Amino acid sequence: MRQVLNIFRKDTRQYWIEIALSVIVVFAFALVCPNQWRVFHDLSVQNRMAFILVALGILMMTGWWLLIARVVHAESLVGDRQFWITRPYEWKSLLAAKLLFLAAWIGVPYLLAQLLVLAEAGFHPLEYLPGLLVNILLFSVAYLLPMVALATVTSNFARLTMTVLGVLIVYIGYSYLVNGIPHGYSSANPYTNYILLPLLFAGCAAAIALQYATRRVWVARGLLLVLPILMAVSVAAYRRQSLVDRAYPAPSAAAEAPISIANIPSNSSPNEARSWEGEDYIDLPMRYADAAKGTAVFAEDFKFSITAADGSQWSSPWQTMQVRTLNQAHTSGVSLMVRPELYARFKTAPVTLRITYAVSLYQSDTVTKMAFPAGDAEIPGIGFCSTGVSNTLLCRAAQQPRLTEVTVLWSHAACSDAQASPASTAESDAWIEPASRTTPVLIPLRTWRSFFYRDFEGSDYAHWHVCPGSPLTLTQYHLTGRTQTSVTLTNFQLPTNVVPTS
Amino acid sequence: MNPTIQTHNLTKRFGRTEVLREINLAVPEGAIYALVGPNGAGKTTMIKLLMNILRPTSGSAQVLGLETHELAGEVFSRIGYVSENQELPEAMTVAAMLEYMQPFYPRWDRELERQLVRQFDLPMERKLKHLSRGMKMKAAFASSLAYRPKLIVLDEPFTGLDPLVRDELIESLLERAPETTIFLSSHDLAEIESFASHVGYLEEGRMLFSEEMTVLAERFREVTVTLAAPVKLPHDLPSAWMQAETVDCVVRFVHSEYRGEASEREVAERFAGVRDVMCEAMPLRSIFLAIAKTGRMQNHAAQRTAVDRRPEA
Repeated sequence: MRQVLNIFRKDTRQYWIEIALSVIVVFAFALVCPNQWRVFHDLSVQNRMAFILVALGILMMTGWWLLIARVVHAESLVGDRQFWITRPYEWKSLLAAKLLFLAAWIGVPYLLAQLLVLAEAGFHPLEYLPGLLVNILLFSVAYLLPMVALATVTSNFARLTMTVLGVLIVYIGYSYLVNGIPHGYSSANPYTNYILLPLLFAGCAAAIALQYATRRVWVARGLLLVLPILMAVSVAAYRRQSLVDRAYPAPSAAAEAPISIANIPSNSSPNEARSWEGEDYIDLPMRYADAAKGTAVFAEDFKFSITAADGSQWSSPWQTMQVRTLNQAHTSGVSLMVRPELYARFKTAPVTLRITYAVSLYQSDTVTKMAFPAGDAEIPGIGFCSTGVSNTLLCRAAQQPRLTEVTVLWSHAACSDAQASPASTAESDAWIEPASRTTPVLIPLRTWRSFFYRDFEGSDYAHWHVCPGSPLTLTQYHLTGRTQTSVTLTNFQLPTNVVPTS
Repeated sequence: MNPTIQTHNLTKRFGRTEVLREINLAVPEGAIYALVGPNGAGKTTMIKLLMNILRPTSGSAQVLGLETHELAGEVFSRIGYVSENQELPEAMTVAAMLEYMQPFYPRWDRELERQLVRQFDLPMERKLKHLSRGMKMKAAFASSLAYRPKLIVLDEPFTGLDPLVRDELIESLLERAPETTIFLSSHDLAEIESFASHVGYLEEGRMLFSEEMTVLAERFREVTVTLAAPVKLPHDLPSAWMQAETVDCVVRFVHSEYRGEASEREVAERFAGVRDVMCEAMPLRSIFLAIAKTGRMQNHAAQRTAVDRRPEA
């Protein structure tokens, strides 16, 4: 312990300027954070504040990067000319001293800044301490630990920078390959890849421990090179389409469909398909209806198959849905992507088109009714919300909100009018969805805007308002199951005309 | 008594290049062992192997009774290592470095530290990066001597230093000598001749010899034989006779296995008409020059033989 504190004191004395700058940036970031949920009527001010927040976020991360590089390279683990390697350093003490330094000068200021942000946002910070600690832990694993691992296998800041740039280029290239080919096909909930972070942690921790214990640079570098390959393999394994079939089992024959799905009759045959980035797309307007009262149906993925009259068939893999709330999105569409050569073959005659949705089913439980807030107000089960500009609700939560339907009443009158007649009101709603997976975040709050939209069918949209004091209903839902539901369009003629789009 | 340093067939290769080949040496406790040899002979590699900075390709070495791969942590509180190539914590002042190092060493002697600082006239408040090379070496010495190490390992410690600084450092080493084993490398023979008790000669990765200085000095003699008439050098001279040459009636060579009168008799029997045999003690520098030249000649001859034996295309 004596050695740990001795090294820690030395590093702190040596890098006090870097520490001071880093801490200043962290607290500046915390002070600017509240602008994220403030209502700005001037869009340029809002944009400027958002820019400052992003700039400070980048500066904060860069400061940490510099601090990590400085403190690890102070006792560099690469090379054979370092002063410390022939001194009685215990490797465990050296590693502990470095971790103590990072905890003291990155972890603690960051934690304090997050507590400050929560307090500024109106939350009692200590109530959320466990969550904050988990977030810091995740953030450390996702960002700080890889940086420490890279610092241990490089001899100076310039080499570390080059290595980080190299890693970024490889990552961008990998992301392009994974996400770009084929377009639009991706994995589905609930199969978030929970292996990635533990794998990243194990790989980086092993490389760091190996370096401090033995300084076998090429072994540690090899380990860090193998790590992204393992992660890529893990991602590839998790993209297997079969996982969706397992997570969303096909319903039994007797099971009732959770929702009825139909192609909109008036537009049943779209006139043209579009061509984009080497693929052909048919945008098919659909109507979703008859969801049981108190239920919500969310489509996570969909797939489709085309069967020609001669019996030949082609099936797409599972792919993501753009609009997921089926029981509310009455007229939303799906885009069916088909390779041009297949499309050219199938469009020559009517086909049978079957679209299958992987859906999550929710049941409502808690309903809260209150007045639409005039200013900043606490909303039970969510957090705090303010009325934003353009009929929005600007909310912030210190923890993941549950799936919530927010229903508002529109008035065809200015908000200054005392009473709007019931005839000139209309309901619409918005959904607050929890994030699909837990990811480390820089700001310990989730903020979002709920846009209330309703098609007023040609009437003057500008005269419809969601006014403070009007009824606001919040309905919270819980997950009840997952299944598949499908619709079959027989004798369906694919549009013969394919129009290129940019 | 166990040697402080011992190696067994210690070999180090970097890729295909063999830097050290089957080195065997033993440094007794309390010795001042000078590892000498020309630049590129493998001295620094040898020291790095002994300090566990590098790992041997084959063979083994023990330092203070431990295998070198076990050298880490606490054991370095008994070893003082100073190298011309060492990167010091340049951002620290001399005082801060000594203050920082002290808790690492249970046997750190504050009084000795003050004495060394005075002796070396170290500017305590100046950062190491602002010190001259000589001053940096003095600071490194002070931080390596203040805890009274059992073994001091020095890699070319005096290279590029002015004579005054060099003498100061040697003096400080000699003050430690009774309680410490010192192992140092150098390519400057004159600087080690005055104080080394043992010497090893390394050339092209091979240890040509490793022995006590007094034995070495006894073993080598510059022999001058005066003959009655000029003579041609015979081909079958003993291998211990190095650099033999003849000028008129005089034959000169370096005897590397001199054994007093027995050797003089052997010389007299080799040549006809010997009028005088003079065997003079040699300075270390001359001994090494003779060894180095002989080694190079032998290598050159071996290479020539290899070329001659190569089949014609």
